[in-house]
Amino acid sequence: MRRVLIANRGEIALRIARACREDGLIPLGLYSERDAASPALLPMAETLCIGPAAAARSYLDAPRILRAAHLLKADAIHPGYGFLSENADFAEAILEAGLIWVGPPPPVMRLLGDKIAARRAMRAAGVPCLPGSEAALPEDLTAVRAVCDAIGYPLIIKASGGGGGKGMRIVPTAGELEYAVAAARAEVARSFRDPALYAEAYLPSARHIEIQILAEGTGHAVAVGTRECSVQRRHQKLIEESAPPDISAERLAALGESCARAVASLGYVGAGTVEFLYADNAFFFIEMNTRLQVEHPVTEAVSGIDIVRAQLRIAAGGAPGEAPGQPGGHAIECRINAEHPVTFQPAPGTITGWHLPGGPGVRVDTHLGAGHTVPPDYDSLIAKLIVHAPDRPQALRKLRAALNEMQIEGVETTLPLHRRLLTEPAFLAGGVDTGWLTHLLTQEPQP
Amino acid sequence: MSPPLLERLPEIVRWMRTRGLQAVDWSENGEHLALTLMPPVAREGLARAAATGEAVPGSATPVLSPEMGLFRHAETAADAGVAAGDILGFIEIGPVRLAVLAPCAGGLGAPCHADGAVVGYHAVLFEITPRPR
Repeated sequence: MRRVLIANRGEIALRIARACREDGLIPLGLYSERDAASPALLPMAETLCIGPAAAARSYLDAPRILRAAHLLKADAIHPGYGFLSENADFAEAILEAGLIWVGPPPPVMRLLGDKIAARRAMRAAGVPCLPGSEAALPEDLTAVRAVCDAIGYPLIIKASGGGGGKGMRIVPTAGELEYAVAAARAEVARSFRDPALYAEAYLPSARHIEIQILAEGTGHAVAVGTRECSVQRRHQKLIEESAPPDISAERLAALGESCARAVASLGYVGAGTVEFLYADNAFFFIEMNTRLQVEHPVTEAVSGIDIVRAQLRIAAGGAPGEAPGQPGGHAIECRINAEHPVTFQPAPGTITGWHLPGGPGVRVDTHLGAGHTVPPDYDSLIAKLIVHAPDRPQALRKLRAALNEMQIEGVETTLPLHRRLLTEPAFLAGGVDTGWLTHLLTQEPQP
Repeated sequence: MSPPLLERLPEIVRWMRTRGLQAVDWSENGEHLALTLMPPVAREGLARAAATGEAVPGSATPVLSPEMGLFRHAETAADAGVAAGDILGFIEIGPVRLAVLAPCAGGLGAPCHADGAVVGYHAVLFEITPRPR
């Protein structure tokens, strides 16, 4: 494996290119017409414009990306996150073309992409799951009612083959079941190939905890860290930290070991993240993401492991490499998005002023700078600010200083919101749930 | 009830341009619209050419690759006069060759890439300059 095509854009394309360079690999970049001037392309050895701005005709167009891999004589494809990173058909096409896929085997991706099958597999491997339906909800409403009554209310209906909140319906009582199922079925039919729905118990107040896994092709898997991602808006994470505050290291280690055993038993290879809800002192499996996560840097900070380089080494048939000692401590990441800080409406435009914080324990992952444009066509993430300190109070102090130093002008960003959250007693205390931020913002007059 | 999407095309295109959008794909009242705008460089070049059928005096009209692939030269000599619609070269995509057509009449410059070079989507392949009448 020498020439690695990075099938992504923005900060993650740059991050992967740097990891390739460090390991002596040749990074190859692709881009849409909109991203022709992107600084993320600078470290690439060769680049190719694959299509117009619309993601459907560029970053989401699997045949085009395969064609680009052929033209650029790539040996391997790293998908980054988002776009085609969890598309098993794409991974399979890459393998059939004789290339290396930097990710898990397609059959395992398919299994874990089917939420019903994933729940079943994880439960069988001893990973704790919420009470829920063990198969797709039947068509007949009487049969659906029997399944849901057995689970109890409130419950949540979800799409087996979906994500992003589509097809998701909270059902507070049995009386609201019929309408919720009909609405979910209609939305899922419009959005996904797989129309199956399932139901599981709904936890009104829970934290989001996740385990980072690295698995070798030999069947050996390890949990390399735990993250808390409970500060969310519209099911999108905004702040992540490691380790989760106020949960014992022993419990997290035990959960990590059970996840590692489970994914190893499924034949998983590469980096992946097992996501849980944490409520009433118990963990419940939600899903597994079969790719690199946006928030991987917090785990890198506290584990000392370069997760992207580990992915590349595993894909090349090797071991992920040992962590250089145990840095430990506490890490926090803020996602800086080009969005209105309260309404979260995307705010594309040209950056006119740009100053990044620095110093020991401060990392900023970004591909942008003054004069660069944030296009309207893609995700609004423009930078990730990550701080690392010996403990959470020191990490919070460092984060506050870094956020106050960071300046971005020309586009609206979530920076003011992050600065404000660093004054909120509940966040400073740690342990807020996934509904906390939404609740906080709805208490205030909207702009 | 809004008028049909096709009748609202000029308004939709204006809305897309003010927001920097290049493509939209949506359904409304049983209609489905998939619309892609030409990138500004191609749009301006073609608009100028369409107005006269010839390259605009004082500016060169770029000839863009219709796809990514291998650029294959045609038999057209550099600095030759070409008419709108002439085949200037090809883009090879596996077994398929897409013709590269002259968007306007004028003098054809030298190819910007070697025969067999890998070119990206909308890479500039030639420039066509106006010729004195």
